[in-house]
Amino acid sequence: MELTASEKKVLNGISFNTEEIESGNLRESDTALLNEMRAVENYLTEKYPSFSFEITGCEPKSGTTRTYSEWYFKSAEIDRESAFIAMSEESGDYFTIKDAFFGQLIRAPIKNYLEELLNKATLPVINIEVSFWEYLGEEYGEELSPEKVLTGEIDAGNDFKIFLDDSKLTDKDYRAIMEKIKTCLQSNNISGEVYLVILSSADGDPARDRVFSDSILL
Amino acid sequence: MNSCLSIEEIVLINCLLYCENLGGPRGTFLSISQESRTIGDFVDGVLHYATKIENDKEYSTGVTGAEYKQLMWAIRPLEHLKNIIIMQVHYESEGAGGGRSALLFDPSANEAIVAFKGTQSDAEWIDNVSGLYQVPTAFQDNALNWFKSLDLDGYDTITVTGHSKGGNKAKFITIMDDRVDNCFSFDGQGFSDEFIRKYSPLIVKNQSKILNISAESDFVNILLNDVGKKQFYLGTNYGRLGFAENHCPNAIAFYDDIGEMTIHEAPGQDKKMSALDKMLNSFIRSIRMSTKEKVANMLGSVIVNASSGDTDKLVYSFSDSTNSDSAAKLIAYTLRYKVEKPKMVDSIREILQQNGFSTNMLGAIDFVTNYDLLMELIGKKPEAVISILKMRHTSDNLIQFLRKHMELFDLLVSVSRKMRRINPLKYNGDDLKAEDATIIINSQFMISRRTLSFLVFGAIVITVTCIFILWLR
Repeated sequence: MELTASEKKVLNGISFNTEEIESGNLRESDTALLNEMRAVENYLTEKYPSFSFEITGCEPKSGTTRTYSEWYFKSAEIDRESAFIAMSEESGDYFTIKDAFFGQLIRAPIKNYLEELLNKATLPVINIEVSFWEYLGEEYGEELSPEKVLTGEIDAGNDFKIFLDDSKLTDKDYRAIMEKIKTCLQSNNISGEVYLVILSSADGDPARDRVFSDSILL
Repeated sequence: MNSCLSIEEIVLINCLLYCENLGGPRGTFLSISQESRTIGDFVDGVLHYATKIENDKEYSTGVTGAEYKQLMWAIRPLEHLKNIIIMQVHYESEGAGGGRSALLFDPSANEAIVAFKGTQSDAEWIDNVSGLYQVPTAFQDNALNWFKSLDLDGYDTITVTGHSKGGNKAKFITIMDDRVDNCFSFDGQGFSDEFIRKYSPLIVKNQSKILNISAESDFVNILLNDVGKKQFYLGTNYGRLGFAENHCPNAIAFYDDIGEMTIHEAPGQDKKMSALDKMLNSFIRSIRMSTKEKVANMLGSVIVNASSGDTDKLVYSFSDSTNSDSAAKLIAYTLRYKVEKPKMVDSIREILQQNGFSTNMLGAIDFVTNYDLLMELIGKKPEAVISILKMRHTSDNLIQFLRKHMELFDLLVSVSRKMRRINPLKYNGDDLKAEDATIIINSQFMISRRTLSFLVFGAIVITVTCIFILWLR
């Protein structure tokens, strides 16, 4: 069997059968892993045709309590230190695969929209970070709608971190500010979870200069 | 060591690293979405969805939902720990076996805490054993590269920690990067002789920053040579997973009536573990470097299959063509070792009993294996042996097992032959100390004996070459 250098590297990281992997004469268990790896790579390429991917590692389910394997991957188009993760679960003859890469496509428009809303509500926003708890499957590709995700029509597990500048807050009642944010976002049909962090100043360190932080469930 | 973290807090942080999907995706501690939250936020979030956590379900190897809830409740009153902020979560993008880690920040002490999760899959053992023949391993290098990429300026104290393979990564970083102030390695394995020799000056310089925290019966910390101080703790030994549970991160956590977590120092390492440690060290030293990779893969394969409880796979890992020679070496070495150090048999018996295996056969095995010629004879006459066993009314299960695994008889022949060539007392089983591999000049300048021998060899070659050239002229 022909294996690429990166396939060999990944398999060598999760299998003891070094010689067989090098020669391409794979054992049954390694063939199964290779098929799964290729299925994940195909899934990513088909789901996100504008991007190219490389599987860089795997934490197989074998020996864990998980029913799925975690495949670590990176994209040539995204400059990021940390890998992305896709989960694959065997379902008979095929694999059910979900990934967290979709966040890259909708993060910026969602962030911009939230900034706009909160600025209109006269909140001194320093920064907003958008992330998602859930992994989404093949049905949500590059056409994924940020609006549908924001409103929860597509449940991506929205998580927004909002950093505010305390020096520009006239009202120091942080509970009231939490309520204001909640009302503002809910009135725009936004669903998810907000983590509010208030920093002493706009150029404050997000950890050292924190004066308040708490969660808001929308 | 100047960390403001208590050992209990270190243990709790390492337990948190393994939290995965407790009541949903918000119950994964090492998720990028946790960044900027505090440990308290995470714990409150998990407890908010506590009804979704199934008590009897194992959420990570050996740790059930009920045990995780117990852990969360124990953290709830700990303000110092709860205020620690999750600054960055990292998913390894280069290491082929994955890996997750985090940068935490203790605002009360301006302390950075870099924590590495040990992977839980069988693949963990591939890297665990690769430390036998690779210096350093790819996983160690990747961990160090990520650590170096972090902006750690402005912190008063830098602490690294991790459990299992994560503990080994933490020690590696401490040895290689002088900026680290404290290292708490929890059940982390050690380093090979080659590693100790290669990096002995760095180890001598930084080992005082390392504290190894281990359950008294943990079986991962015994691998290879320890670096740093060691403190053993009593294990809770719930017994659900048997022996394997000694390596779970919550194995040393005890809870009182009001849910407060405590740990208790043990007088020392479990004697059977220290005996096993010495035997493994001496066995590894008996293997030539050129065959260490094969032996390492066999060891890893045996451990993985033993812990899976699948006997057929275990037998296969001993007898298949790739492993059989290495497996025969290990078995032969163990058998010869037990002749010299008979207490090993007691240790193995105790470990097997703890795992729920029957040890009735051990007496017979102990007798037969004292005589390599007898073993070879048995190995060469499988059908005769099976007939004798049948006449002796041996259980059908055992007969069926032997018929199914006739390849074990070939292994027996190979083992008996190797036994004749092995002298287990030739190799010391004690951990190699960096001080013993280092030469200190003028109480300031340190050089490893390995480097010195290269330099001396190089000098001799150059001198001889010069003399030869001069002579030619």
